[in-house]
Amino acid sequence: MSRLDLPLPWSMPFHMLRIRLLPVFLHWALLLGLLLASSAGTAAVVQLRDAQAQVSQGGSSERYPVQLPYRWDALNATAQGTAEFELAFDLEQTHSEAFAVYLARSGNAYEVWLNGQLLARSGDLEQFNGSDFAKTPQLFTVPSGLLGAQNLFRIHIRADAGRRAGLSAVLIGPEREVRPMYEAAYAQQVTSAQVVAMVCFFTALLAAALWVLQPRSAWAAAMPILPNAPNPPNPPNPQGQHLYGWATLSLLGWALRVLSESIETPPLLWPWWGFVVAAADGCNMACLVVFCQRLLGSPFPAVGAPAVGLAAACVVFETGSAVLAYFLKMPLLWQASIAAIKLGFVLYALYFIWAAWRSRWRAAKLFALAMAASVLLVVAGRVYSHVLGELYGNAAFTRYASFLFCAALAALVVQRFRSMRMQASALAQSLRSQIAAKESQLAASFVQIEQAARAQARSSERSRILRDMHDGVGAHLATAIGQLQMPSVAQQSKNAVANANADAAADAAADADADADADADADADADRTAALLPILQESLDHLKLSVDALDLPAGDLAALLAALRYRLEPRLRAAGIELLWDVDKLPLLPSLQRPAMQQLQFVVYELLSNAMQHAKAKQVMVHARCGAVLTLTLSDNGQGLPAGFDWNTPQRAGQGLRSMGARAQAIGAQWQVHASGSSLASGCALQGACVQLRWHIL
Amino acid sequence: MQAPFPTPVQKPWRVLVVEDDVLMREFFASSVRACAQLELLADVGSVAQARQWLGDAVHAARLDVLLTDLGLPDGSGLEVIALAMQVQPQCETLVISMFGDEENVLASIEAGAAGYIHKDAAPDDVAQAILDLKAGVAPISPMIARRVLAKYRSMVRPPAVPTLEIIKNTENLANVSVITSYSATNKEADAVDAEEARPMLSVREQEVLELVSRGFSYQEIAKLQIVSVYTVQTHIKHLYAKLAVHSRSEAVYEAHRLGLLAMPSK
Repeated sequence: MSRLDLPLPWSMPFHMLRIRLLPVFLHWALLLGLLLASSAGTAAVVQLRDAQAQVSQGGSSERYPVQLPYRWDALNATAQGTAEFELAFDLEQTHSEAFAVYLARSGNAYEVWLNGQLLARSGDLEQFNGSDFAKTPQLFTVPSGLLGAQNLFRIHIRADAGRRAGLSAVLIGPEREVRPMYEAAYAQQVTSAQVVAMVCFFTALLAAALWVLQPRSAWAAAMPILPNAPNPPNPPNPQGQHLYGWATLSLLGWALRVLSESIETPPLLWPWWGFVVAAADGCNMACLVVFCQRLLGSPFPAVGAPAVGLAAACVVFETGSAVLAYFLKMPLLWQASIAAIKLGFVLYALYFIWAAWRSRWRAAKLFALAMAASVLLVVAGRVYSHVLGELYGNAAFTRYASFLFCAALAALVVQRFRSMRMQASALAQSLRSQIAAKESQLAASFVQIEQAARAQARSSERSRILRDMHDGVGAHLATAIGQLQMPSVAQQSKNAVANANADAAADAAADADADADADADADADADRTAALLPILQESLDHLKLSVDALDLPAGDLAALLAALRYRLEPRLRAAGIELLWDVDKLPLLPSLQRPAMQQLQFVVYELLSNAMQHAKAKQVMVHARCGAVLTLTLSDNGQGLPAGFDWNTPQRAGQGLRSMGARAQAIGAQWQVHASGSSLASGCALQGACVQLRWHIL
Repeated sequence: MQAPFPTPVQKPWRVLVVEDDVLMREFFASSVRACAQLELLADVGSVAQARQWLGDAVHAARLDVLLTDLGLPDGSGLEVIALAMQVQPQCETLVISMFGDEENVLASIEAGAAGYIHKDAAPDDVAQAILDLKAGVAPISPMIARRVLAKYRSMVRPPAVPTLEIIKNTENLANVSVITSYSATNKEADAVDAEEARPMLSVREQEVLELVSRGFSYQEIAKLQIVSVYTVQTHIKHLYAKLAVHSRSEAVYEAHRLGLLAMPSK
């Protein structure tokens, strides 16, 4: 089984990428320098490629010359075995400085001998499928004096099946020149793998924490909670509820996958550890696909419930392929499977880039960029490993794509946090608005309750006054009026006059003066009775109007006029005055609150009383119209105001009219008096005095 | 409708006066006596006396008009009205009111009174008011018209409301069938519902009330509506009857709702 090397679209900011790739560039630069130096014949570093190999596998052993690098899996397919390489080389001159040997890749276990002396040993050459020391580059310091003009390397390796054992070209030279090459390769293969694995692992922990701590309903259901809440600029993707969960699984898979490249002693024996890594790789890809699909959001279909099944199927497929390929000794099966998975993923990556660019979610676009950069990295890795072949097929570039993914994920977290914060702010604002609305409703309710309480209090007071008046002054007045009007009393009055006349006739001869006095007394009683009645009636009318005023609706001029007519018309009729009524349907006058209504009632009452008592009118007209101005006109056909009457001249104006004018102006009415019909204004239909009150409506 | 004035063969309208104030009682009694078309049957000063007088079937059978004050020393004139209507349904009632205020007048109308008269009315006006009453004229003040209109407009109770109200209160579907069957088997409740379902006032009655509330007299309203004064008076008379019926229906409905009335078995 070959080493897993899948094109995963990880992401990373460019400047970070530059820092991480620095060792790779250094490595390239050193190799280039080495080649140039070799061609010039001045370089002290020697690269050994020609070797005699004694390869033993399956009970047979064969010796033949090879050109390094030697790839065991490529040449020995599914077999495990050992090999011994002999590399002879000459040094033109001896050197006093320390020399070192650099192996980019070796066997899963190895021994390195130089001129018959053991330089290094790692692992057990006889124990297959144990520790794996082929993953990391090796550097051995050559003891001083060991090198001579003619030298021989003898390198023994153990090669487990499918574990990428072999031998790279051997570099020997001054340690000061060889060590940087080793360190660059180590940084690229080991340190970078550990860094990438750690970054992925901690990012996965962060994503897992966000996934666990995030309320399940908050993301998808936040908006419908308050349908009237203003939409934030970046509304959350309703399919993004488990994004962090899928990201966690994908990152964990990738972390294990990358970290395995730097682990020399895995927790499981080969090939079981290899199957675990294959499963992690499959998990990484499947979860990444689900993650991306959920990220796309509507209208792209979310994987939804089958997501777990898809991920599991991918893991099973990749792991199963590895198992079958290993145990059936069919490397082609594994290669075909992994090629299919890679191809499928690349195709999906292209689809995702296209779809994300059309998506309305900014996060999807961000990941599309990361995906595109990752694809470029994968292509670069393939070119690097397969075209140049110097890294033995280890496309280390791919792993850096994870930085792009982590950065995009961080940006997603920030964006979602920002969206959540804006959403929370919008919700808070909405809540504040609703509270304010409720408070204002409450305040309005309080006002209504207060008004209702006042109305109730007024009604109760009116009832109390009514009761008091009914039993008290009102009853007395009514009784007095009734007594004066009662037929017997009237008859008694008449009888009194008749008796007085009879008595006077009988006693005429006796005392003419006494007769005259009796007549005068009787007449005087009748006159006083006749004078008393209207006073009492007027008193009772006043009382009734006062009672009515207690319940007049604020601003309702029509109701006020109607009540006045109802109370006064009997008296007008009794006085021989016809009341002409021309009152339009009137709107409520906001300026006429209850005190103003009482004032106005008094003014109109006084005007009608004046018409009865002083105008000698036969007709009185009440005219009310409303347009932009509400006009109330009271006119009569009486004698009118005195000639030369001038309302603006205090000396000539009557005190009653002056008082009424002051009251009218106090309640916001324009007061106008016309002495007679000669100055007819609109509504002054009769020829006598005319008074107008006007209110502006608009 | 009965004739406004007794025909030569018809006897005068017989009147019972109920007033606690002696002087006022005497005033109304003498006003009735002074009118040839009226006959004073009796004048009493309390609910008890009125009850006693009306308890005599011979007296009650002769009664045409009840003239009663509301504030009586031993009770309300409303009780007298109810009793009079019970013993002599043909009797019509005029309430003696000091101010013609809406509360007392409406309460009287809802109790069955057909009109009211002010305490300070002239003797001729008292007699005329009684004769007008028998002629089908029902007085109504603008304030009362306004109050009736306001009450009418505030009535938003559709026919299904009583049942729905109960359902809403119970919030239990199991009770719906019970309530429905209860309503379906109760003729009286059905009558109440049907009464509630009908608009209390016709459009023309509303218009007449509107004009009354704006101060127009019956004659002026007749001119404006291009109808006879008699028609306007009829509208008001109908309104009085409806107010009384509505009041009784409302009382029956409320009694049903509160469980104060036993449901007659089917």
